[in-house]
Amino acid sequence: MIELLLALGAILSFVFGWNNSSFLIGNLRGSGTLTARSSVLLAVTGLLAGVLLEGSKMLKSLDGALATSASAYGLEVTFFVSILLTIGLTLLALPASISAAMVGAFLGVAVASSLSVNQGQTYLVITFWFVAPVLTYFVSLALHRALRRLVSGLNLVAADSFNRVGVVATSFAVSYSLGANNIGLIYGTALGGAQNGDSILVAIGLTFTAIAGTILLGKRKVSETLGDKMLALSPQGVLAAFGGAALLVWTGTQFQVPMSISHCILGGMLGAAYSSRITVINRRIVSESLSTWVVIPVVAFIAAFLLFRLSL
Amino acid sequence: MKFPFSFGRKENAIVAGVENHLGIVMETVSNFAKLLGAATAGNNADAEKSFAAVLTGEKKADDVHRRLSMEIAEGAFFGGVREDILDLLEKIDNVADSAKDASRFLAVEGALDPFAISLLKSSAMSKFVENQIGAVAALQNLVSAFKIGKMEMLLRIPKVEEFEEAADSNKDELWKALFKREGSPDPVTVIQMRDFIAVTDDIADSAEDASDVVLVLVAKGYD
Repeated sequence: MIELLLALGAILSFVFGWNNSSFLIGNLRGSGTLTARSSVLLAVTGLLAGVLLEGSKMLKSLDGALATSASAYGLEVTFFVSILLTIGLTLLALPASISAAMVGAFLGVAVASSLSVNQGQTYLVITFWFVAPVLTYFVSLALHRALRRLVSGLNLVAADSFNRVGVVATSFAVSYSLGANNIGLIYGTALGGAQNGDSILVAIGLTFTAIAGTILLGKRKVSETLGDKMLALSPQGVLAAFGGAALLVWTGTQFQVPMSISHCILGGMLGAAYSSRITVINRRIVSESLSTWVVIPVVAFIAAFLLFRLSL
Repeated sequence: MKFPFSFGRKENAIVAGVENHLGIVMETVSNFAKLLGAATAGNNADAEKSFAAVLTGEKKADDVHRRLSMEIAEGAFFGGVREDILDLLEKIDNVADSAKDASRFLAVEGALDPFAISLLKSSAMSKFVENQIGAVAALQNLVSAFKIGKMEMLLRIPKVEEFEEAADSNKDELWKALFKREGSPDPVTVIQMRDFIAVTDDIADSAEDASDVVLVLVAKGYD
């Protein structure tokens, strides 16, 4: 059974790498700061550092924190529904939240199998999902103002260097936080919430599977949806949005809360845009992204509930 | 204020290259002004020497432009800013091209007729050429602010436009004088002078276009 869970975890990691390619290497490549090879190397280093140093905090974030004693089959259903939903949204070029899909699907399974759901942790997770983008908005707004003030005193070359060093730093921070939270979530679920002697190998394997997804299928489509189509941001705006989002995802990890970086980045971009007094915002893209926040966990819950019940 | 990263070594070299490029362009424009003085004074030897210097300067500017463009294309500056630096180099190069084209009118003309000489020697023409040179000098001053900072760049951008606008006023004055056709000048001379004024005016226009690119650079790099 563990083999099947690991296989499903690997597939979800691959899809995660595909869907998050814009966050992992998009900025580095788009700005021309690093070569494709160096960008991938930085993403691997960040993801590995995140999952190895802090991924264990997410081991029991589903089975253990939201509900206890889920069956292996229940975890397989959780993975299966999450994979299908994420692939569907990625094909539609929408920022899909793997964590939201997994939480929704796991709760669907938990309710279908009459497990006792930890309401306190469930409320914490849901509250965090709605509060985190708002907090990212304010963090990014403050960060953007500070960065603008700092850069305005620099000459052109120094400002350019600052932007490029900043892109490297925030890309690493994003990879680290995604490694700790999202790969940590997949890893914890695949191991059924229990570490064993091979845990490190599993974490490394899942990270490289995610990177394979980024290299083989990663496209700029998702980042265009968030960045270019929604609003136009300066380099400092992008740094503030990504830096703020990475901080909030990392904060979520400390509370065992599965986080979506796309949700946080959306809040961060709006914060940076407000700081720049950008008023032209593509409301359709914003509302599409906002609606997926609610739709993904609800659809995942219903699909997992039905699949679990019907297959019994 | 200096930034404590050696990250910008290539970019610093390119900024120094842009200054060097602009220095060559400025020299080319100055040689064009010398050619004008020599041609109107009937000093053919000096006129030939100045024309040759204009051609050499323009060729040199082209070579520097090409080398810098290659260096930038190989990977320098943040994405987006890179394209603007290339655009800036192109606009600076257009200044030298205009100086060369204007010089050709004077060199090809050979012995200028009295109507042309009187127009070329007029105070309006002197001011017109001074303002062309002033626009390029203001652009040099603007590019040197790349090493200072945003506020200084923003302060220096309007100076280029001021010279360009002053040159435009001179141009209007020259056209009025030209089309008065006092002394019934040869229509061919009138057409040649009209084209000469228009091509010469491209020097300040290109300098102003370059300053507009700097404004975009400031907007992109600094928010």
